[in-house]
Amino acid sequence: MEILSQLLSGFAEIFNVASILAISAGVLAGITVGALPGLTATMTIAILTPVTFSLAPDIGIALLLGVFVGGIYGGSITAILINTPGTPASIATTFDGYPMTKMGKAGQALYMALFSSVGGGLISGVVLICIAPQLAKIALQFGPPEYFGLTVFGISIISSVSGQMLIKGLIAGVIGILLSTVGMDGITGVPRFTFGSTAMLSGFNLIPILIGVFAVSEVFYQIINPVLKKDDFEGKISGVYIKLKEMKQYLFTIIRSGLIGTFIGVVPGTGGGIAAFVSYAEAKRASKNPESYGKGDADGVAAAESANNATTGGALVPMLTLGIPGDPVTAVLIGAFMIQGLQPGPLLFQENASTVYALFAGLLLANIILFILGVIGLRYFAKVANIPQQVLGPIVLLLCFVGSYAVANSMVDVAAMLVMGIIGFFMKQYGFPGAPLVIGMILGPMVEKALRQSLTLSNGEWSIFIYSPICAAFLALTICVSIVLPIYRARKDARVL
Amino acid sequence: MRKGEYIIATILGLLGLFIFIHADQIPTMVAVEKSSVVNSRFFPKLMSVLLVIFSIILFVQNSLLHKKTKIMPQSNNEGKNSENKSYTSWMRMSAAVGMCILFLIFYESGGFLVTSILFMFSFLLIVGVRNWISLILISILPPVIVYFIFKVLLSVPLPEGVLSL
Repeated sequence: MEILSQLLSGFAEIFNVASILAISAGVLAGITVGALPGLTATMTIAILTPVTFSLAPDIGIALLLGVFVGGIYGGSITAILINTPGTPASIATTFDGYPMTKMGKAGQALYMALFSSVGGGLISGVVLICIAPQLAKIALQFGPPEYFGLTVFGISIISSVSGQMLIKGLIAGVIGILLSTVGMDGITGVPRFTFGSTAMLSGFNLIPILIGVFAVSEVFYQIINPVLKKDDFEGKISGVYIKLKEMKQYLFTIIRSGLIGTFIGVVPGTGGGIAAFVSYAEAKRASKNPESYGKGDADGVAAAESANNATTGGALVPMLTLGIPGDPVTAVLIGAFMIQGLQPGPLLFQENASTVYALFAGLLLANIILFILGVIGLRYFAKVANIPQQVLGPIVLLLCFVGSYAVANSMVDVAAMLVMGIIGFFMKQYGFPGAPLVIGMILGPMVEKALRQSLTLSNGEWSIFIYSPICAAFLALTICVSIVLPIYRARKDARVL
Repeated sequence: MRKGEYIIATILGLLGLFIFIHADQIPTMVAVEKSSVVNSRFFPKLMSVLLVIFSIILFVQNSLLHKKTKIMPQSNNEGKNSENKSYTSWMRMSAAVGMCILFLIFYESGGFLVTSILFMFSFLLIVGVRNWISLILISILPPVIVYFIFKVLLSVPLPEGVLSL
C-alpha cells in the first residue's frame, strides 16, 4: 500500500504539461532514431543527457526514459517493413514481421508490434515498481565488503557483453577503469596521472566520453561500413487496426513474453536482443501451430516485441537499486543521473524517494504515450527509414558537439569527446567493444573505494571478503559468470562446429 | 589486418608498462590508510598489470588464430570487409575526422551557427552529396533548428562567437 500511495504522488508530480511534453518529445525522438538503422537509443540518450541538464531531474530523466522506450519500439518498424532491424533488439522481429509485410499485412504487423511493445513495457514497469524498492532495502544494509563483491560482479558483466571478443572486452574494461583513476584519488586526495596539470585533477567527465564512444565513433564507423538496407518499402500501409477480438488470442503471448523479457532484462549483461530470441523460441514451443512461425505469424511479432520492450523496466532494476549498469543504455542513464546530482543505488530510494517514484510514473506514462503516438504516427514513422544515411552523420556530429559543450561550457570536454570518438572508431574497427570501457569507467571507482574501505576496516585482512556471506556469494557468482560460463559456451560452440 | 592486431597488442602492452611505471610514483599516504598494501598506488598498478597480461594473451591468441586459419570466419567482420575496403571511404573518413578537428578549433571563436553551417556543408560534400538544393537546405536547416530548440527553448549554452553582440 505504501508503494501505491508513493506511486500516486509520483504520478501527481509528473502529470503536468511540461513533463508530458518532455516525455512525448523523448518517445518521438526514440521512435525516430530507433527506426533509423545505424542510430540507437544509447547514442541518442548519450547526446541528449547534457541537454536535459537545464530541466528538473524528474522531467529530464523521464525524457530520456521516453527515448529508451521509444527507441526499442522504433527498431521494429524497419525490421518489419524492410527486413533491416533498426536496433539489434529487433532482429527477432524480422522473422515474422517481414514475411507479414510480404503478405501485404504490414499494417497489422506494425500495429501488433506497437501493441505488444506497450504491453511488455507496462508489465516490466509494474514488476520494476514491485521489486525495486524491496531490493533497495536489502542493498541498504551493504557495507564496503558487500559493495566490493557486488561491484566486482558488476564488472564481470563485461565478459557477457563482449560476446566473441572476450579478451578485447577485458582490455577495454581495464582501460575504462584506468581512465577513471585519472585525477584526485577519492580517499586520500593525492593526484594520480595528472602529469602536473590542474585541469586533470577533476578527472575525465563521463558524459563526453560516453558521447565519443557511443555516438561519434559510430558516425566515423559508418562512413567506412555503411549499414545496408535489405529492402525498400514503397507500398502503402493499409489495414492498420486489429480488432480487439482478434487481439485477445495474442494476449497470453504478450504477457508471457513481457515477463520473460523483464526477468532477462534484470540480469546484467543481457538486453533486448537476447530477451526477444528467448521469448520467441518459448512462444514457438508453446504454440499450437509452431510451423507457422517464421512465415508471417503475428504471434511471433508479439513475442519478440513484447520481450524486448520489457527489458526496459528490467534493466532499470539493478541500475536503480544497486547502481550497476547491465547494458550500454543503463550505463549512459547512470551518467544522466549523475549529471543531475543523483547517485543510483540503494540510497537513492531513501534520499530521493519522490524522484524515484516520479520516474516510475514517468516510465508507465512513457509507454502510454508510446501507444498514443504510435497509433497516430504509424504511417509517418515508416517514412523515416528513407532518410539517406549520409545526411544523418553530420547531424549526429553536430548534436555531439552541442551535447559535450553543454556539460560544463568547456572546450576540454568537446576535445575529450572527439578524441574518444576517434579512439572508439579504431576500437570498433578492430573488434574492441565500447560498452566494457564505459562500464569500467563507472564501476572502477566504486570497486576501488569498496576495496580500500574494506581493508581499512579489517586492518588489511583480506579474509573480510570471505567472512561476509553476501560478498562471498557475489564473488562466487563472478567466477561463474566470467570463467565457467565462457568455458561452457566455448565447448558448446566447439560441438556445433 | 592480422599485422594490425599484433601492433595493437604491442602498443597496449607498452601502454600498460608505461602506466605501471607512472603508478609506482603516485604519492601515498600511509598514515591515512592502515593497509599499506592497498593504497592509492595499488589499484592503478593492478590494472596496468592486467592490461599487460591481457595484451600478451591477445598477442598469443592472435598467433594461434593465425595458424589455425579455419577459425578465421569468426573475425569476418573485420577481416574481409577491411581488406576490400575501398581507398575512397578511408579518405572520406579521414577528411571527416579532419573536419571535426577544424570544427573543434573554430567552435568557440566562430560561434555555433556560423561554424556548424560551414561544417555541415563541407561534411556533406565529403560524404558525396552533390545536389545543390539539398546541400544548402541540409547545411542550413539543422543548425538553425538545433539552435532554436536548444538555445531558445531549453536555454542550453552554445558558443555565440562572432554573432554575439
